Amino acid sequence: MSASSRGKLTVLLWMQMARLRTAWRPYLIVSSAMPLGIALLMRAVMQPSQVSRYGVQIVAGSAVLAIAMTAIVMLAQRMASLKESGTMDFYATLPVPRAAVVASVLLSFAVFALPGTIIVVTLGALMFNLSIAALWAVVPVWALGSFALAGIGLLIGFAAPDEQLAGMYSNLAMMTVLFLGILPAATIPGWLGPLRAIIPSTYAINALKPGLHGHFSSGQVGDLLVLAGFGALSFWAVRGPLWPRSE
Amino acid sequence: MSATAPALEVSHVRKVYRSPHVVANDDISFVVHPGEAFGLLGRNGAGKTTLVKQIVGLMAPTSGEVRLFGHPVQTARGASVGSTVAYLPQGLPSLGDLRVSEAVAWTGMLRGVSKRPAHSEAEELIAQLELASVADRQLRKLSGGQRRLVQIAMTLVGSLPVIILDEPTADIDPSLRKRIWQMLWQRARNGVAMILVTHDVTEAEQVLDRVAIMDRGNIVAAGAPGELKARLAHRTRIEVVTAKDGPVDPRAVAEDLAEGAIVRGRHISAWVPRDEAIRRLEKFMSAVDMDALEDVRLVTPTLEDVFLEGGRELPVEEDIR
Repeated sequence: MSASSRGKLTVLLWMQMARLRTAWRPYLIVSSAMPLGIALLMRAVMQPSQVSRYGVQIVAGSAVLAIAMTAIVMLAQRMASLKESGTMDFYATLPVPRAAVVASVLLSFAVFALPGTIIVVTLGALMFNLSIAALWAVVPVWALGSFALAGIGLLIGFAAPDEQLAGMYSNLAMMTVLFLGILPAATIPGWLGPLRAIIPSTYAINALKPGLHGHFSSGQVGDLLVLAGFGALSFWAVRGPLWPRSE
Repeated sequence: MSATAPALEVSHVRKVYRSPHVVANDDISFVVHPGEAFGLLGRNGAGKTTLVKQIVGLMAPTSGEVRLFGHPVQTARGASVGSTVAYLPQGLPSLGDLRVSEAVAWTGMLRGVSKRPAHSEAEELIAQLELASVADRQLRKLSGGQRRLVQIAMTLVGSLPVIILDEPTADIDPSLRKRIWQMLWQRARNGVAMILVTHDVTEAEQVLDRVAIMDRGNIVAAGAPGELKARLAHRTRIEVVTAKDGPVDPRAVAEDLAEGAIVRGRHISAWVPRDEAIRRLEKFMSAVDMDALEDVRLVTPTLEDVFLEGGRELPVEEDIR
């Protein structure tokens, strides 16, 4: 990337990050309140034996849900709004690569997801008596999980005719992440197994779990690589064949 | 960029929407040279905005070609089009979180201007458009007219060689409109190829070197405003306004004035042959009590008349180059 391209990416990122000035509170509250609430509910209805058995799954699932709230729901709505208002056309008439526009939106929403993810992991770990010694392990999962899940958000945002429908579709996608992610595998019907294998959140949760046990596992690297692959594929699709264009 | 090529060359552009099937542009051709202010006039739905979107590369023509300084737009990457053309669309991009100074300066930086010059150019444009008092305010907190002014500044920053403005003065108060037209005229005199899409024919007439009038996807008349007006010069319009609650029936006035006179409330408008205008007016005035009238005037054809005529009686130039 040339110095000029880096400079333009930085400016695009500033433009997207300006959203935080107006909306950081709702972004933080929405991305952390619902996952925390679900973790708290599960904790309240569980027997003590179940807490130690399913705690890691629930906290990891809730943390990934915090990422999904931002990277799927909020990003899809934002992208649909940008498209509907002609803002994507505004960027398209500037001498900036479309990859830089996509990257700036994606990066900004990844940043929006970070505080909520840390809050959910920290408070969730306290609720379920888990280790926070390897809290740093959240960072690669947050980065690559945001990248991979944002692909879904961008696709919905581009495909939905308006912001309202983008909100509905993205909530459906987020519910899938919630259902297949937080609930322990043993409690989910077997025929849904293949679906778990093709959604990025499964790998994000798997990558987060060892850290909540207080150690690092080589399996994490594989999960993170799968997340990177999901992200790269969706990024390629969004800046190329799926980029919204006029007739 | 070829020095001899026109800034913009639109050749036989045809645009057909598939669903529903609509021919939005049909065999459109014209050129715009550097330093020229060119107007695209036409009623709503005439196909102006569709044409402009093809010029800036947001849409591809069904057939035909658009060239910028000799380079085809449809084969160029967005980056090269964006380095040549600044486009002010009709709608308002969703950039409400940005402050005015940021929106203008950052747009300049995205056009390749370095940080410091971009900020100083932004400051200058903000001052010229009387936005200095709101320079640190977010766009979402501005009035519709102020946001339009910011958009104009965002279009002008970076001094690109081709500027396309779709209804630039919509929502802007009359005093500032004059200033904007002056700014645009000055840019054209400095070598910028300016394409204005507007309904504001009367004000645009002052800055446009040539115009094309579009109707149902076609250019129905094209030329310098003076030339187009000259094609209606064989006619003069008599306009009469009857007094409010006066004794004269506007419909009777219209009948006395000329065949085909149009009545809108108390306003009567009639086209008459130029050499008969004075005689008809004198005859009319001698037959009516002056207290029954609020206003009487003779009007020579304006560009707005040409626009409203929609090209009737106005043959398209054989070659508008």
